[in-house]
Amino acid sequence: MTLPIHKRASTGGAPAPRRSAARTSSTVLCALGVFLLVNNKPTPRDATAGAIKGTVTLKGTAPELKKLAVTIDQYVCGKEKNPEELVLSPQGGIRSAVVWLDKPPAGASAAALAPTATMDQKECVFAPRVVVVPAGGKIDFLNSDRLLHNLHSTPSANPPFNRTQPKGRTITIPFEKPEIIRVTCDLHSWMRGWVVVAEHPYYALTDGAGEFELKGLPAGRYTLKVWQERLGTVSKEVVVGDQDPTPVTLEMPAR
Amino acid sequence: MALINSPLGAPVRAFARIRASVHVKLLAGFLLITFLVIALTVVSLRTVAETAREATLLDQAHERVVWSRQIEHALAMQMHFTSMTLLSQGEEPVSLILRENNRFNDTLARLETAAPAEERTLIQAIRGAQDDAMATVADIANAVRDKKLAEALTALRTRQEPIYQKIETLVGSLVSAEESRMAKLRQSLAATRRQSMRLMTGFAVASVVLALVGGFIISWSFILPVRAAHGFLSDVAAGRFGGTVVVPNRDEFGALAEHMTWMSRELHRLDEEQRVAAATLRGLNDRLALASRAKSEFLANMSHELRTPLNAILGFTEILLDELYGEVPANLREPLVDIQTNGRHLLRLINDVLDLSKIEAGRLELGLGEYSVQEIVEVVHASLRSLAIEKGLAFSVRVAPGIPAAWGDGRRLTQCLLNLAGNALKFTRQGRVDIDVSHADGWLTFKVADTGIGIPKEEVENIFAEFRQVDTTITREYGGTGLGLSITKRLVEMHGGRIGVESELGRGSTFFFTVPLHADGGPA
Repeated sequence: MTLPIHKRASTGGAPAPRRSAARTSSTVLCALGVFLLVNNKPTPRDATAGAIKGTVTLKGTAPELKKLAVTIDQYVCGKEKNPEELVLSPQGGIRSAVVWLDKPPAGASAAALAPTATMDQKECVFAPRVVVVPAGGKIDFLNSDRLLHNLHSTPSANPPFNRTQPKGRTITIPFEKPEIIRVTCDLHSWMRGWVVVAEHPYYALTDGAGEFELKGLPAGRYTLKVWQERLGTVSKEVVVGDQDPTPVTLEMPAR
Repeated sequence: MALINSPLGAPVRAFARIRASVHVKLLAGFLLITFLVIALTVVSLRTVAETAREATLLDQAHERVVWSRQIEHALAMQMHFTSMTLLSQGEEPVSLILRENNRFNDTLARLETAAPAEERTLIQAIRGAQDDAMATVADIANAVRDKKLAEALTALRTRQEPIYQKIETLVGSLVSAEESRMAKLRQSLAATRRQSMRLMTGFAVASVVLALVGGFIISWSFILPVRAAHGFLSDVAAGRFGGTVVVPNRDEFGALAEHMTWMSRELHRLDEEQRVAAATLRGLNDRLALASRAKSEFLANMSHELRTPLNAILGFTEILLDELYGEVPANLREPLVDIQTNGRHLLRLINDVLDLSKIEAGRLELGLGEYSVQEIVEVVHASLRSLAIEKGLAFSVRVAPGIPAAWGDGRRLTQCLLNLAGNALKFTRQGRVDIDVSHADGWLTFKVADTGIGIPKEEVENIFAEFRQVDTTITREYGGTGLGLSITKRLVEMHGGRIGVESELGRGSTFFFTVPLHADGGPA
């Protein structure tokens, strides 16, 4: 994933002048709402012009991860599973890390996160492994395997859940409070899934190359936070200025 | 040979008639056997492979039966744990139900992959029922967790039990299908084994029969011509040429037989030619013998006729020299003595020729009678002593003591010894001449040794032939007719004896002859 930046900008994160009318209007409305709530802050030149585009990388040597032995239901699940608690690109980019702003900008608003996300269980693995959902959003848990899975989680802020799930049945679980929740399967010990309930819209999930983008940011100084299930949380100060998008590299020390 | 005359003889002759070399025929035989071995190997390997395949199928069917049993067990356990869950309402039995249900799912997936096509429908039916069962189990588990016991119980009664019964029936029919499949496979295995047994036995019998028949035909197709050749060669060895060898073979043996026939014809032709030549020679020989006898008779007659006037000449010469016709003038005496000497010489010559021709004409007969060896030796010594003295030679005789009176022609034996001793004296210039007679085992040996000129080795063989002396110049120097040794040899042989000589050129010769003490089987 080493595509030139201008090309990515033209396909994914479209610059402001090319936005569709509907999206522009909703963004304006949100921005207006935020603006009305925190109108004592200095007004930025353009409330939604800035963006952060960066990469999360590993600092230090990558830990050696062993393949996970499958001890049960081998005929459906396979003999072993790839360790997915830390997945790196060849350049050292970390996949499925979650990046967010510690304090979202007042009066500015990014595009809202999709209120419903999907997490499938396929060949006895949660796919995707990490899902971001806004507070008040829902996750549709699916089961593509021809056996029973048992969703089990004991979050601290949200209510716990423990549901048996046959193939083809969808279990929808709402998440009200922002937090990072671990989801397991009682029947298959190696299965891990993570639900990140976002406090605000400035959350991003890194792709296979470890890249992410936060859009709709007014210029200013921000604290970026990045979380990865194995490496924990790392913070970094970043200033969003005229340069658009602001490049940033978040390094997570190996441990 | 009895076998050959049986119906088996026909294929032997047919095989012999095949126009191919022995090498090719033997090779073909070996190749046939090799082919049989290969065929047997291929069949065996195929049987083994077939057996192995069926055994594998059997194993697989057995494995599927085991899995089916596991499914049944998992089903029973689920029911059991469901009841336990309803009783205890705890999380632990719930997870046990789920565990058993997944065991069912996993084993079923295994079974589905391994099952033969015709069982797929049945397995799909189980699958469908199991999907329902899975949903029901999940519902019951979740209901128990939600403390909705009544709902869970209803689900158990109205949904789970019928489904489980259905699954049980389906699995039961699957098991019985697998078991009947196993039974069929076992039968098939046994059939394969029996068939391979029959096949192997068939091959073994066919191989033995083929080896026997093939061996018989091939070996006899080679033995027959050899026997024919053997018989034929025996005929040839016995002198019966001109036969033919007839063999059916068109191989090397056939060629050999043709060559032998040709050889036989050649031998026959040569034999005939030789017979004709021999007959011709025999005729010629007869004629020659006839001519020779005529010559000998003529000579005998001639000698006799010659002796009469010669005796007259010698008689008158002697009368003249005895001066019965008056005194002989001194100047005539010498010529008269010369006439007498030459006359006597001529007489001896004529006598010798007469003797030889008599012998050759087969008209000489020995005058057998008792004689004394001592007497013979003394006569010879007396006759030749003057000659020895004249030549200044030592001349001694020795007769072994105690020789009994012998039987033979004393006169002729005297002639023999006289001849040998006379020759010895004649051919010796200085030294000595010794006569020695010994007796052993009924045989008399007369030996005359001299220190004369000797005889060259190459001449020893010819010395006893007529008119032979070592050198023609010798005749001129020493005189003699050259018939003496020849006559002596004939006379000795007429006595049944043998004559010989040992000689060294320039050192002397030893002539000897042996005669039986009692010649011609005379009185002992």
